[in-house]
Amino acid sequence: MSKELLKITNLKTYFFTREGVTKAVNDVSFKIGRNEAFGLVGESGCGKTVTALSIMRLVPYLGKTVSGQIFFEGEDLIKKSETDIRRIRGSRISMIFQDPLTSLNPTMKIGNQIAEKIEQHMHLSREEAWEESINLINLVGIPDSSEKALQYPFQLSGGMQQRIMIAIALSCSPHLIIADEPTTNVDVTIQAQIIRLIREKREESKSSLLLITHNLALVAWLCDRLAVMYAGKIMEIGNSEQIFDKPDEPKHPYTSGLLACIPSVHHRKRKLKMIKGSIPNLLEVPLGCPFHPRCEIAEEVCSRKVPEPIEVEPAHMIRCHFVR
Amino acid sequence: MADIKGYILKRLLLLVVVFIGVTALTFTLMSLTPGDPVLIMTGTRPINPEHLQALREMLGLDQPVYVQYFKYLWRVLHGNLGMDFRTGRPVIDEIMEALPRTLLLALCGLSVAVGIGISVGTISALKQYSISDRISMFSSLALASIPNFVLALTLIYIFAYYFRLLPVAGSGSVKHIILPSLALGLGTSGLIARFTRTSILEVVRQDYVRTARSKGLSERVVLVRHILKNALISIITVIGLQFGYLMSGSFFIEIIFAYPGIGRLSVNAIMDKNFTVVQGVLLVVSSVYVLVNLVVDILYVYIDPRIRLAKAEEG
Amino acid sequence: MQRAFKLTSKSELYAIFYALKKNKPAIISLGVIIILCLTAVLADFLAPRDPAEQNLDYRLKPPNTDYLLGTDELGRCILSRIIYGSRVSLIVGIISVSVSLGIGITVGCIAGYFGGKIGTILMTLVDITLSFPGLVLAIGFAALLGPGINNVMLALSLVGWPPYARVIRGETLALREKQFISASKAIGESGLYIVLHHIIPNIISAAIVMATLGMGWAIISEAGLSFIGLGIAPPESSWGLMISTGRLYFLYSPHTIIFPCLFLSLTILSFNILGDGLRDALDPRLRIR
Repeated sequence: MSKELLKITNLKTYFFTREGVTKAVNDVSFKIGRNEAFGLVGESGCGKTVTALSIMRLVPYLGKTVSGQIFFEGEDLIKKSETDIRRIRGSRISMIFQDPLTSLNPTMKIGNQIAEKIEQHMHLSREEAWEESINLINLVGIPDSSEKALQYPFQLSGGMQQRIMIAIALSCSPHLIIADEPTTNVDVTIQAQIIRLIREKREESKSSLLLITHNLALVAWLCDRLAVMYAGKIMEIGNSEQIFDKPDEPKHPYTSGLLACIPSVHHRKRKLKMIKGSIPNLLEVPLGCPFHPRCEIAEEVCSRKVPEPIEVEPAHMIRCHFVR
Repeated sequence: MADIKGYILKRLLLLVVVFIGVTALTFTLMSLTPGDPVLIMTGTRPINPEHLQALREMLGLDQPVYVQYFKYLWRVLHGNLGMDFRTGRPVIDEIMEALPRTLLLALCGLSVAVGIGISVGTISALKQYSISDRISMFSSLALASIPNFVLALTLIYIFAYYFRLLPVAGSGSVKHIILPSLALGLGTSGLIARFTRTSILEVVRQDYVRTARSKGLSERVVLVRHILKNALISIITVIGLQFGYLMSGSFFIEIIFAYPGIGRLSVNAIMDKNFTVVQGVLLVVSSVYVLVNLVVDILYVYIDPRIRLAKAEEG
Repeated sequence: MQRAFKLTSKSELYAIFYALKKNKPAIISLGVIIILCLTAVLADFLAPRDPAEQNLDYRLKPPNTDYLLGTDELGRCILSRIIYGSRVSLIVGIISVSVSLGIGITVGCIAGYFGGKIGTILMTLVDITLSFPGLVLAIGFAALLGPGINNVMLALSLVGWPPYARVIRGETLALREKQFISASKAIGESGLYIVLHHIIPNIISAAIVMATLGMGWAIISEAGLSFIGLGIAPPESSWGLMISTGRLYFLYSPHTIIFPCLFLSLTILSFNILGDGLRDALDPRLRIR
């Protein structure tokens, strides 16, 4: 039994559109261990969601995973048949999506949306599955669970809808939970509750978490290790200490930029730093290191050669020509 | 639940208003008939002018228009739609004989249309852009464009004449209703197929379908519980509206197949200038149409939980 | 004098044309329709014979070298009747759709832009008319008015305008809230001016789509009315009428029906395909939000 729960090697998922090929995931590799919280960070459009969907094999219409391996508990998910993947989806890997309102079936009772997954994987009777779903609604902190189970998504607030998504994800005790921007579409005051809930439940169930977000603060609070993604490539992987707690540690220029960008409530007068430029159109990724047009320390070699991942410390990888 | 009753009440009120409008319209239409209705009814037979005047008085034709209208409305509400002057029978009786047959035909046509339409539309949507998709969508458009009497004649030629499989005319057994139902329903099936395809394609793109798949549910469950259930909501409104169209389409079908329904009754009446019958048919058909639309609206409220509960909360 | 504020610029018009061009069935349909129009206009030159000319010795003859599409039950040349029939179909279609469109746009704009009591009354009228199944109402009108091409056009116009009114009212309501209307009002432009110069140019696309599909409906309805005997009267030839009279003989002489059925279906299909294509080409660009 391998120590790693999830090991992704050289994953490439492209979208073949009429305008050209979008290399959303372009050679991504990372590992997630058991009972570990892992953050995948990057700006919108860098390919993090597509990575998650590739793991679930739910890549939308024009996309296709063209190469790479996704080892989950020792088996390569890419090579599995559709029937096998369906057995894994929900029972061993589950996903929390970004927008809870559109991600829930508007014409199906909440209780049923949880119960149907339980029925599918755990072979319980309808009544037992319903009971279990009410338990889960309780578990995620929603009061009056037996009444709420009979309601429809639109009758719940955004925060409650997201809790239901979490309940669905927690059901059947999966080994890996993927959370895609779980707090982005939720009010700020509710965000903290949701994040706390995720952390609690994950620790209780001892499942691993893959948190996808652009919010570094969330990652700092929730995750043990993280990867920084840019334009379809992983730029840096390290643990939270290395990246957040040690300002003198070598870092990828993009990571440094992201860390500096975070506005601080305590340093209001400090000038807000920016990373100049904007993310590239994934149809026309720059040659060489994709970050070089925006990089402050870029040199000529950066526009020619894609940097290889360099291990600057144990378990700390950076993809840059000039890290040391 | 209080406000659903309010909603239904409001719609029934609208029904009454529309019914009054319907009677007004039919009455107006008939009053505008060129020529003296009495003369038209008696034809070219020479009649004593005194008798003509008596007839006029009996029919109330010598009174002012609004009086005539109220008398008409009163009679209608009592179920008196006048007398068919050819057969001497009350119009209401003739209509009540013929109406169920037409409704049966319309219902069978609807079943054909829905059965074929939804199946073809669903399969097309799931196989988007494939050859079978393109072919079925084109056929659907073609079927919807061909007038139903053309379809009827084609079907007759193929099945009744060439293959001698099915009867062409009359009524009374299941066999008699097959061809007419097909002729009536195939055109609408094209419409329903196209609409189903659009509706399903829209639903399939939704996030909750992705969530359903992420739960590891079987494709069949995803299709039925998540995709179809949501797509069906808009499809049903379309189906409801088609019922009225099918009822009017039956006019042509009944003539071709000599099916003794309302359509044949009224077209013959038009030929004979039998205006009381025409008036009665118009009234009854329109009322049925309005009622069916009302039922569809109410059904729609019940089917979509968002609307149903939102209305309940409003109250 | 202010220029109309169009949500469509000239370059967008070209984009629409381009989008339409890519839709091959739509272009083919457009071609068919153009050929049809030419046939109708040049009927006098194209038809080999007088469509009303009877040749009682030569009845119900199948297509041959003399009569390309054969003869009908009174010995008339079917080809000529079909050619002249196209004229009837097109005239009925164009005129009834134009009248319906005219009434519909007027009512829709007034109800949508000015609203108020008049708007409510107008829309109630629309609702009442729409509560009748269209064809039944047309039959009712036609029964009343009697056969003849003018009566058919009148009946179809009266039945056809409410759907236009409803859609146009909806579009007008949406447009009314747009900023450029408020800007116009601020300059002091009158309501009528605004409707004519700002609203109408922007609803034209929806109107065009409806009109094209409306042509299909008008032609099918005219055929239906003629089929029951309420439409075109002999000796004029309408495709619907040809099908109706030929019906009695069609089991033995199918050619009397096949050709009018074919041309009728083809024409309606073409209008429907074109209407669909126009809707697809116009919709995403000019959707009023």
